[in-house]
Amino acid sequence: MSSEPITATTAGTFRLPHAVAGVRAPDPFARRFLRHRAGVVGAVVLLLLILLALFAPLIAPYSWSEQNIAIRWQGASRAHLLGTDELGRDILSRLLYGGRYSLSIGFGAVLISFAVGVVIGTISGFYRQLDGVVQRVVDVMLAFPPILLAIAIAAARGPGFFNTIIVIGVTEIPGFIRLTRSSVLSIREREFVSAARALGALDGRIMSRHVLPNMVSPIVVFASLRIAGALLTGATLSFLGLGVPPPKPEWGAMISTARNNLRVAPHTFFIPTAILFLAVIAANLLGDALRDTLDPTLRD
Amino acid sequence: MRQYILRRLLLLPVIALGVSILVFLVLHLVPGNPAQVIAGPDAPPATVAQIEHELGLDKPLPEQYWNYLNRVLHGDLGRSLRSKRPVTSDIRDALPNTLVLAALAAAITPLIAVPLGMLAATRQGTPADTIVTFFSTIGITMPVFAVGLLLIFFFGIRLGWLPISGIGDSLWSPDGFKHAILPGITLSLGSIAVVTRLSRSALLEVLSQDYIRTARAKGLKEGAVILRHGFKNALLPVITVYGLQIGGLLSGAVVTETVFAWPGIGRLALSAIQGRDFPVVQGCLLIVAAIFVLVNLLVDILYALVDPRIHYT
Repeated sequence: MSSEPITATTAGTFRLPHAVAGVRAPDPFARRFLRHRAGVVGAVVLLLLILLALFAPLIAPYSWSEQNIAIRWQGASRAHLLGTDELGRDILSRLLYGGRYSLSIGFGAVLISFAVGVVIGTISGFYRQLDGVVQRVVDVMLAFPPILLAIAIAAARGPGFFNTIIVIGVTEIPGFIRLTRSSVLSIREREFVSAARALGALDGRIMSRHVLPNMVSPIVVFASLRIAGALLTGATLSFLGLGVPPPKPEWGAMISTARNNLRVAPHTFFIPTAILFLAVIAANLLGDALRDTLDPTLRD
Repeated sequence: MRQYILRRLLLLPVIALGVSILVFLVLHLVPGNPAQVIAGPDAPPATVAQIEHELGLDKPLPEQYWNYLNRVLHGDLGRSLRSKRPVTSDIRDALPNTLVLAALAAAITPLIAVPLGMLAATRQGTPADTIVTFFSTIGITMPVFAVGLLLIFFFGIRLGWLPISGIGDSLWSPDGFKHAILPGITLSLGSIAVVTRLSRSALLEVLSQDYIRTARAKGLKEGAVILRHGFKNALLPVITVYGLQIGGLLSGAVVTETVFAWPGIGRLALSAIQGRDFPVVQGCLLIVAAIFVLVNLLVDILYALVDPRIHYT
C-alpha cells in the first residue's frame, strides 16, 4: 500500500503526517467544534454567564449589598425576580455580581496553574537533571487529597478573593506539570527536534518553537476541563469558610449562608446552587467538546 | 514488576519527608507572626511571646523543623492550643468516624455503579442508557456540599425520614446507622457517577471486540457472553478508577463531615482552622496525607499484580 503511488481515489482519504497536517486539514477546527452540539451549548452558556457577570452593574436591578430586613426571604416577585435573601438583599443582583468572584476564581486559578505548570513541566521534561527534584515535589503535592491541599494552604493564608485564586492555582499546578512533562518527553524524541538541534538551534528555541507548539492541544483540553474543577474547588472553599468570605456574593459563600435557612427559605439555597451547577456543567461540556475535536486520543 | 513495587516503596520515605516539611510549613505560611495571629490582634506581647515559646517559634527554622520531625517520629503531634489535649487523642477519637464513613461509601460505590454501568452498556441508546448517563453526568458535576444539602432538604427537612446531623447514640448502633445513611450517600454519589460512567464505556469497548462476536457466533447465550466474556475483561479499568476514587473519598469526607456535623477528622481539622489551633490542623493534615499515600500505593501495587500485561519502568 505505502509503495503504491497515491491515486486520485485514495488521495481523498490519505492522512498527512502530523507536521504538515495544517497544509490541507480536511476539516477545520471551528467547523468540527460547531458540529459538537453539547460543546456549543456549553460555550454559549459559559460566555453568557461571563457577560452577565461582566456587565453586572448595568444589568443588576439592585446593588449586591443593599439590605432591607423588612422584605427578607421573599419569593419571586416583579420587584425581585429571584426573591430576597436573609437580609432582604436581591438574589438576582447578588448572583450577577457573584459571578465576577466565582468565574474569576475558576478562570484565574487555571490561568496561574497553566502558566506555572507548563513552564516548570517543559523545563522538567527537557532537563533530566532537574526532573527528579521537580517530580518529587509534585509527588509530595499529590500526596494530599485534592481539596485538603487547598484547605491546608487556605488555612494558613486566610480567606479572601485573591488568596482563593492563588490557593487553587497552586493546587492545580501538579496536574499541568505532569501533563506537560510527559508531552515534552515524547516530543523531544521526534525527528524534527533532532533536525532543529542538528541545525544548531539552542534549547530555548527548541522548546519555544518546536516542542511547545506541538503540545498545545492536550494542554488546552486539560486546562478547559480543569476550569470546571477550579470552579468547584472555589465554591467548596467558600462554602467551608476558607474562600471568599460573606457578605461578598460568591456563589459558594451564598450557598454557605443559605444552608442555615434551608427550612425557612430553601430558594436562597436552590438558586445559587443551580447557577453554580450550570457554570460547572457548561465548563465540562466545553472541555469535553474541545477534547473530542482537538485531541480524540484523550478520550477516557 | 517487582522492581516497580520496590521503587514505589523506596520512594515512600522521600514523600513522607516532603509531606512533613509541607505540613510543618503550613504554620509558617501564615502572613506576619503566627503567634500574633493565634493569640489575636489585641493580645498583650507577653501572651504572644509565650505562644512563640510554646510552639518553639523563637528558634531558627531548621532547628524548629528538626524538633518537629523528631516529635512526629516519636508519635507526638503536639498539644491543642485550645483544649490542651494531645493532638493524637483528638485524632484517635475522630479518625474511626471518618474511616467508617469512607468505607461505607467505598462499599456502596461498586454495588450500585457496576450494575448501572452494565445496564447502560447493554442497552446502549435506549432510554435506560440515557437516564443512567444523564444522572452520572450530574453526579460528576454536582459539588459534594450541594448534594449533601439537597439530601438534607428532601429527606431530612421535607420528608423527615432521616437525621441530618451528628452521629447519634454511637457509631455501632441502629441510631448510628440511621445517621450514617445521608452522609454515606452524599460521599459515595461522586464516585458512583465516575465508576458508572467508566463501567459503561469499558464494557462497550469490550463488547465491540472480535472475541465477543465469536462467543455470540458459537451460540452462547447473551447473558453468558456479557458476564463471562464482557464483564470480566471490562473489569480492569473499572478497578483502576475505583481505586483512584477511594483516595478521593477522603477529600469528599472532609466536606461531607462539615455538612452533616459528622465528628470525623475533616470536621476536626476545619474547626481547628477556625480556632487557629495549628497543632491540630497540622496533625490532621499529616494523618490524612499518610492514609491517602498508603491507600494509593496499595491500589497501584494491587493493580500491578492484577494486570500482568502491563510493564512498569
